[in-house]
Amino acid sequence: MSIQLEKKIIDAIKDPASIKVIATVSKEGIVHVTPKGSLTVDENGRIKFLELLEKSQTQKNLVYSIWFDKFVAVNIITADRKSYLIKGKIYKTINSGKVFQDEYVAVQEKLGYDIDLSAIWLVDAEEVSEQTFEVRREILETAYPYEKHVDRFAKDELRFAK
Amino acid sequence: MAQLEFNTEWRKKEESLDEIIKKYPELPPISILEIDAHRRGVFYTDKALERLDESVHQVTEYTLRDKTQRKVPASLTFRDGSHLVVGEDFTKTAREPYLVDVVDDKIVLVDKDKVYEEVSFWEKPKFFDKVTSRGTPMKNVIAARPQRYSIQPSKFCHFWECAKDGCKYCSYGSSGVKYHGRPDDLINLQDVEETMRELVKEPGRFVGVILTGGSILTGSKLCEDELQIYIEVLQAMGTVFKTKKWPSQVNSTALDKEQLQRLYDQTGLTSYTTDLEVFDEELYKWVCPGKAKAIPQAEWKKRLFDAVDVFGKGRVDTGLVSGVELAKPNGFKSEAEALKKDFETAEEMASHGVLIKHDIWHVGDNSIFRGQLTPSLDYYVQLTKGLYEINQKYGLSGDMDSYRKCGMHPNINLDRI
Ligand code: SF4
Repeated sequence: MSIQLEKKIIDAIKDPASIKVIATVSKEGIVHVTPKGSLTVDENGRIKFLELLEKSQTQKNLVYSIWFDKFVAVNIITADRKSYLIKGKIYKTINSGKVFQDEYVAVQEKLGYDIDLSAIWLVDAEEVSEQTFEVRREILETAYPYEKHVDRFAKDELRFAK
Repeated sequence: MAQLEFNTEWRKKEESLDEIIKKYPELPPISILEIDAHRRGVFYTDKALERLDESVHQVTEYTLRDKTQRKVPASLTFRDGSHLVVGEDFTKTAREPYLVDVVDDKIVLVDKDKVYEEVSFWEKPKFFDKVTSRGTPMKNVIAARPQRYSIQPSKFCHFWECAKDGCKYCSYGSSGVKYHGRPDDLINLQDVEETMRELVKEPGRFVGVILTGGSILTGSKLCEDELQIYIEVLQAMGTVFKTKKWPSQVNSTALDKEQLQRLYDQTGLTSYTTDLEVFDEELYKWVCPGKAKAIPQAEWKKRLFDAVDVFGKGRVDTGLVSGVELAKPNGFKSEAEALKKDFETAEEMASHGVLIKHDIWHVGDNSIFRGQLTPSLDYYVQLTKGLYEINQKYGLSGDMDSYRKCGMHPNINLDRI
């Protein structure tokens, strides 16, 4: 089931200072992670990004995902080191028509006239979680209080004794 | 709304789309749906036609059997970016077509009230609204699918000089007969050049071209005049490109090696197709009598192998019109027999570097085979899977005839992952 992205997530995605990566899986089950500078949120609230290379592994994996209803994952790392993980399913790809051609022109104006555009991809977010280390530590160590090394339970005068 | 009447008895005899999707989990459901939509055709509801905008979309006009005039989208694109190449006017099958309808504000493909997929209408290129300096509408010079354009150098197929020699599944040949001996049988090179000049002004619109038309058997040797027109058209097209070679495909009558070499050397052409059409030799003689008389199947195959020497492995392909090998009364009696023979020939061709593809048989009202029933969806899925696996086994990539450059070859469309 797709969900609406919260404003803070949309802001993080749209912030040019954020680093954005996408993880996809191949038909052989091999994970592939690549940066996706073009990743943004479209007017319908869907995650949108561009694939410039028709024969790239990411492109193949995205096709595999839409064909076999597999998840893709996106991670947004903000300038202040917050990390947001979004898991979703591909809604559609656009590789022809006015919407595509307008994007093609925009890509070439930005990146140069020797750069191609293979497809626009749209993803419906299904799950969002913050992966910032401090946030995950708090959640997980609260949920699993005894899954820590023993020295962390020891008295400080013993633990830090020279 | 225009009404269609079909016999629905076939549903009792054949496995349904849902059953076939379950039976072949290794194939994408969307691709199986596409195969079935190719097989059964599509029909647009009034609600879907309200979404048709002639200033944006590519439109087909034709007359239904009950004489109703129809103006419908040329065809559809799926969510995975693949293009269904099925005009409503192809919908002459004995099975009822999928409906293209609007549900929840989306254009969708529907069968028996079940919504299967969201689709979109093909958009037309800008040059479609322009005319050449000779007054020819450019859309009559170059045709378009969403990502590829096509040129038909000649309209009349010489195998229809004598009607019984035409390929029995072919509607194109019979409708081209009216051009026999007319000056507009051959395309005008000035029109080609002017249309190309407009076409390349549309950034991101096309990824390739196919040139194909009626067979021309005349000349100083067999097909010499056909070769000449392809060379001339390709050279006219080449005037707009800065590189010697550019993404292109010719689908012609099987040329001999010396002709193929000239075609390659004198033009920007990068890939070559000549279709065997029917993979069993005896059936080839029955289904394509003119072709079989002019070029026996063994020679046709040799010319394909020669083409690999000229164009390279993976730059030459051949196709079968899938299903005609089961046509009555002389075709295979069972789908299993047909598939066995298709795979044998495919293996032979692929082992020589020839990429294999199939085109789903549409039973045209103008064809000699009119009124016949195409095979089951199960046959088409088995054929698609088998041919895909044979191409993979021999390391043959389908790029030259991919989902972007054609869209009508389900086994090649699987090549994307
Ligand atoms: S060669 Fe056969 S299939 Fe091709 S146009 Fe002529 S009759 Fe039709």
